[in-house]
Amino acid sequence: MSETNEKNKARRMDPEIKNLVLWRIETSIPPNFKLSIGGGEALTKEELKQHVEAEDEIGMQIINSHLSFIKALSSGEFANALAE
Amino acid sequence: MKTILFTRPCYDLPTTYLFYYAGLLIKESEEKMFSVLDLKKPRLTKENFEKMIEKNNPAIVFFNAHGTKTAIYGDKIGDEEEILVEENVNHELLNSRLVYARACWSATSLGNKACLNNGCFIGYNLPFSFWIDERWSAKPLNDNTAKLFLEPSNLIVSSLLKGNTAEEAVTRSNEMSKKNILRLLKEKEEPGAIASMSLLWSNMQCLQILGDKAMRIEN
Repeated sequence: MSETNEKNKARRMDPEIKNLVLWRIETSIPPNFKLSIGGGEALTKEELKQHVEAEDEIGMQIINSHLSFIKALSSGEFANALAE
Repeated sequence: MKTILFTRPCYDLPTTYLFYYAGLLIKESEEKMFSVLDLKKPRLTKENFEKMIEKNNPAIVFFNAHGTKTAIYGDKIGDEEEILVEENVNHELLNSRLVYARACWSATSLGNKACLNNGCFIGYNLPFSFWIDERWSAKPLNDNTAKLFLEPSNLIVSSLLKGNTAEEAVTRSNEMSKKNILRLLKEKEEPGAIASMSLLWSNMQCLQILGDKAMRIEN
């Protein structure tokens, strides 16, 4: 297990946030989509959910990406950037 | 005549997509009268990469690959991905050049050393990500979902070929990503629209320019 994975395991994700990300994956991603993220093969929707459930390195990247987008939406940063 | 060096591994779905999209820029480079070095299988090895840099002194280096904070990979040799360039090993090969690394994490640490001596490094401080529509995976250039992400990325190199600065190239790329987001907003019923918007936003946020932002290559 990599050092990053160890750190990620040490700080468990808030279950509500994890469930929110899992719900977003379930509802917003079509079954024919695969995600290229980081090294390695592209990931199916089911594999994405497994990584998030495991809170491993890829799972944390996915969670952080979702949270970053939600924050940008709620803060107005996303809308402001599009309006520029 | 200035030289541009492409690295184009092609051994899994993500690298296959990058391979084809980078191929579009090879044609464009030739039309713009650049001398093109296309490193792909079987010549894509660290040894050849180092030799080509030293012999041909490319003004632009365009990596298409998997990456980490300290390294950018080339092709798979056997079952192992071979590192082409690595921090504190051979990163100085990139100094003084205009580099675009379409590779995850590369702007986090490696890019800072690669852009020394008035060079410029464009890359990502998080994973560069894109959605693939599996139904089109045999024809990457016809995959309209992947196109949303790879066209703005290609635009960085297109802009550099036209003599724009690194900063202008990145601005144009981000503008195209915004246009794609706005188009998706109008097509909310399109499957995966929200997922694509989220990822376009993420790529815009992690795209970085290190070193001389005003660097340009005039052919």
